[in-house]
Amino acid sequence: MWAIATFTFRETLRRRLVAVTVVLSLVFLALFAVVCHVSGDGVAHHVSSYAARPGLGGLPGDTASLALAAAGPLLGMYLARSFSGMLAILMAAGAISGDLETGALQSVLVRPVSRAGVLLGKFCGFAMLLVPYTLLLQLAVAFVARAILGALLPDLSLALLLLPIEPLELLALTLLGSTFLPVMACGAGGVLLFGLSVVGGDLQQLAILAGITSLGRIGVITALLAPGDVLYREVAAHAVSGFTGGLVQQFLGPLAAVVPPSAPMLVYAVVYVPMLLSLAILLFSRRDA
Amino acid sequence: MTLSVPGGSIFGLLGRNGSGKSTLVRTLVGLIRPTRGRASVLGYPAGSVAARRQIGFLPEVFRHPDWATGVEVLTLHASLAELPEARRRARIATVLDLVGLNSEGHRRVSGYSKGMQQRLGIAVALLADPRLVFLDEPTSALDPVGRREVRELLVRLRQNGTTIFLNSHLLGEVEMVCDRVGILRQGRLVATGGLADLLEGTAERATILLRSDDTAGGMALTSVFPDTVQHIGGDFMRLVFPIRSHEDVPRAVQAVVTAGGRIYAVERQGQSLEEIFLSLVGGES
Repeated sequence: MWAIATFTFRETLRRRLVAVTVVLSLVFLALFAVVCHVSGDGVAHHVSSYAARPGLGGLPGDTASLALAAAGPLLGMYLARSFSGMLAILMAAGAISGDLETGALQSVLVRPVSRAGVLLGKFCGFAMLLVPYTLLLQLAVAFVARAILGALLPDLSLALLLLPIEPLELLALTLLGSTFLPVMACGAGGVLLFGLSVVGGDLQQLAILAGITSLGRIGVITALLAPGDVLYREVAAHAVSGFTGGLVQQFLGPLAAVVPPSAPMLVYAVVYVPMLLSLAILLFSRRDA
Repeated sequence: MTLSVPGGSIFGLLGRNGSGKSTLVRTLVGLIRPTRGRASVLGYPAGSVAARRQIGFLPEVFRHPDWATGVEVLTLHASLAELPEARRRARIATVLDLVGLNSEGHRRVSGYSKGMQQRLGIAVALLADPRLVFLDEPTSALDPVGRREVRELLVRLRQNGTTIFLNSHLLGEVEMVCDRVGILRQGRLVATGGLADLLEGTAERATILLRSDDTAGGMALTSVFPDTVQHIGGDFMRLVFPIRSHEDVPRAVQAVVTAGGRIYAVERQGQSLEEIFLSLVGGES
């Protein structure tokens, strides 16, 4: 398994995937820095004036600053998720079916190595790039927000613990798809499910804020399909857990976590990875090559 | 089907496109699960780890990672094949040398020609020093020189005791190197046996060349083989007679020489492997 993992990791390095990803991530960070710089004053003013309006609970000046402190890093983390998620999907879309179609995998599968070993090796090889990348990107986002807005998440370690799980989920999901779908269908399916997960999470928050509880169930359904959004919401919930009333949540909008994810859903989000990998191994083991 | 391939021999599997040759091989190496029945290789269930430890395989269509060098591809396979680390470097050098890629091992596969990629595929198949090697169209991408080198390599492997299972459309190639052949038609083995036996069983005629005025020699041959047909052209005549066994040829020669005839050439004509193949599968639709 480790031979496959290291070979897969080296493949990601040699194919210039890392180089392209690093360059585009730096562009993203630069844009994020510009956004933070330009909008920082405006957002602070907006929060202060919003807080001063009667009948909304009112936020003291310090709380407004804290809301801003949460919004900057959360926005960065929210956007950075898409980078990690897309990278996971694009890396793994052709991992099994693509390699079988081109004849790259057959000579490997006749070696005395199990199909589980091949699949897990590929997963680990991609994860060896994906996890450090996600950690570095999220740290960089936190650093930029801190440097420009003076804002830092109250529980950065929780974010760094939970957020790398989402790309691993998408990696497992894409590998599962790759065991029975052609490359393009697998990639498109992964991207759409990822999008569905994010949109479902956003809709859930907005629906709860608007008091439409039935729409809030959308997020539950999408989370069952791809529960990565749940992890972000847990981080977001912790980031604003010090605030009372709904004002800060309204200010954060789709970035918010009005209701923190339930414990079973968090457990599901974590066991999702081994669950999908097990299913992928089962399907791959039964597939003719 | 039951197919027996003696150890240390080269077996050629023939059949038209879609007859099931590659499917059979892919089943035997464990890439395909049999829908019915069981398959075993070297006494182990086909596809089992024990069987896979002792086989090598060159697929008909394959691609090695183009970003890696030949040595890196072989190093991966050495690791997967559980070759002891101490032996890996030497074994990789040996197989690269065997396929004539020793000076190209550190080049990226993306820079390899089709023929070089085919040779690398053969090197991968031979890397673990397997007891049994399955080669599916091993010379399909090679030029005539490369084909000859592969044929010579197969013969050397046989001399070293390796058993080779060869899938090929190139009947001439099979005729040159194989000890036994099997012919597959619509998934069923319609003929199998030693190549010499297969060709021997179909040998039909021989020709003796005499001077046109050598009537004694001609009459002597006709007395032994009454169905002899005479073709006279210029100074020489060709006497064509049917044969049913190896011994018919020396009998004919002896009869002519005893009668005082002078033989200028003896030629034996049997069905070629191609003729046998076409007669067995030619009507397949």
